[in-house]
Amino acid sequence: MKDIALEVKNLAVEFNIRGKTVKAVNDLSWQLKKGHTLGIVGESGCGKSVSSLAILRLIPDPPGKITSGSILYDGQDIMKMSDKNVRDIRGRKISMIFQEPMTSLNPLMTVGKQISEIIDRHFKLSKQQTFIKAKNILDLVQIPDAERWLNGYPHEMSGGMRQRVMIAMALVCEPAVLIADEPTTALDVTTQAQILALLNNLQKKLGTAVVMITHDLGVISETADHVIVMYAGKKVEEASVLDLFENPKHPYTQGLMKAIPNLEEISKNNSKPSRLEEIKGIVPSLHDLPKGCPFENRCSFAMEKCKHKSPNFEEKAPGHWASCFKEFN
Amino acid sequence: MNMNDEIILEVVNLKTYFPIKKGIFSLQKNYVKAVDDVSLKIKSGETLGIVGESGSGKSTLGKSIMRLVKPTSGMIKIKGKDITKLSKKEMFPIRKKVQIVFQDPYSSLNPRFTVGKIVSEGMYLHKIGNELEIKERLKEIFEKVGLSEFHLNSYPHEFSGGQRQRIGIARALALDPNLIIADEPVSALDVSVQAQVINLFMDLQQEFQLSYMFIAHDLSVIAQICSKIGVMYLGNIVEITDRNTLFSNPQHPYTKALLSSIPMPNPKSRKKDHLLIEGDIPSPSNPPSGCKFHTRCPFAKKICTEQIPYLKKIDTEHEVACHLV
Repeated sequence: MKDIALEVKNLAVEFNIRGKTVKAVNDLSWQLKKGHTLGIVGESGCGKSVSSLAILRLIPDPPGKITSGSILYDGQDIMKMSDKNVRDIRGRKISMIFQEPMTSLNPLMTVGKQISEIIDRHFKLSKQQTFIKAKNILDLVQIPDAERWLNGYPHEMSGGMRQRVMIAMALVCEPAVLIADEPTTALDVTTQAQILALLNNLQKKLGTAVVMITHDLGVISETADHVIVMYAGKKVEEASVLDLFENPKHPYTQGLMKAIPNLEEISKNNSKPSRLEEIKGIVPSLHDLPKGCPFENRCSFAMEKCKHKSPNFEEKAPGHWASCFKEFN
Repeated sequence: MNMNDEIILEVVNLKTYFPIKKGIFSLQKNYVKAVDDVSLKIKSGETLGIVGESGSGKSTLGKSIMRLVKPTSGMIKIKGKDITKLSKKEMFPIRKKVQIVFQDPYSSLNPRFTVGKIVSEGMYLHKIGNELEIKERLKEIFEKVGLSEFHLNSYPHEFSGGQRQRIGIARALALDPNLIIADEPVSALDVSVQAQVINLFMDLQQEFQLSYMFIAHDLSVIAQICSKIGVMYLGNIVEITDRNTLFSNPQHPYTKALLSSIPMPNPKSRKKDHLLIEGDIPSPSNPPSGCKFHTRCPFAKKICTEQIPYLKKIDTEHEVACHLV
């Protein structure tokens, strides 16, 4: 157990919206190894972001509520900690990068002030030392002319630079775990490639374990060691990145992979524009989940029993889990 | 698909500049050159993709062709007719021929209208038939885009993102256009829904002989649907060719960088040698001299900072704007 950086056990999160209970996350468990990257992939509403917010107890209560589960960091359960102790962990041991670099920075504060706020919260350093630490971290995330930017405001920066600042803020205390929630979704492809390369380098340098949350299978395949696929609040498949892409064992994962354009196929000569294989229908509403498998209404392999019984999450091959009645080889 | 060679859309040296005022009494005038000398053609039944990063001018190009923003100079021809200088009134009958689908299915539908009204509004305006005929056509179109008749009286908020985009497509389709300009039509959608909408676009093209101009930042989406692709950078088309050539033999360094930046959903081919280009796209109000890409180009030479490269033909269907090709 020594090499586990963070463990989530049987996490369940519910939202109470106008009297209806929405099960956003349902019995989710995973382990993140030290220095590794865990990819969590799924479409909007699958619970990937909610589960990551729950790790740092950032779910607004009400309407949200963590109904069960434990989050184990360093032998302690974050769910049982006092608020003060959780604040000691946020940004110091476990930190987060959000999707929108435009809205997650304070527009009225200089970049330097925002970075030093975190340093001040967790370390007792002199003004000079704080300044140096802040400058060093901006250098580390490759912001040119870091000293000048410490006095700059977020609106003066481009999207890519803002995301670099977000990463700097997240890493300034050298946390053990970094949760990156769609860190490149709002960025252009070339900037996305830069940011992913940067995250990869920093991870190697600092030994941080990363939880990479994204809807983009391409980003997952470029960054993750181990992958979880989520659907309607539940984990439906889990495997190493190679196994998952080589031999997906859940119809939803298979469908997702077929639904994205295959560039290798396209770059072949005389290929013609062609239809994609689509997943029919839409995600079921979370406050009215079917009794059986949540993917049943969209699944092309659905059987009679899928309607009535939800399949267990079981090991289909060594190190490869999926929740489906059908066996895929 | 039988392709005749009728040219639906021709754009010649199109420029769209937006003035920005500077200095006391706005004496100094500067321009954002959003679209800076773009020429292109779309044949009947053809799909042209325009790809570029934010700020490349791809959306302004689409809007200029629709005459939703006023082009500064150049010419836009729809089915051989020059529409660049037409008045609002003269433009009206042309609008039937060219329709647009927007990116955001949330903000491009009027929340106070029923979707039936949203889709039929254009048909009433253009008086394409009497009340009954329009109602019939409305049902027919709804069926075509995969919605049912019973949705007609619902409001946009009752629909999911994918369904709303279908409504947007239905609205564009209602007037039986020749050309549909689709501005990032799937980028706000989830992967599985994205595939559904792309398929819908392709089915409709087959059925109605539509021409598309597909604007997107995502090369893989463009590649799936387009027969021909143009790459835009800071208001210019830097490379334009058919899809196979663009992927198998890209010539412009920017195209190469774009292709190499796409994360591949195949962990085995995890790239170690991404051709990363540094920095961000420069401001279009103050673009670099010479080749606009030279500030980020790993191969830039002296000539690139001095002379503007123009599109030149390097093959029958392949044009590139680069000094080094």
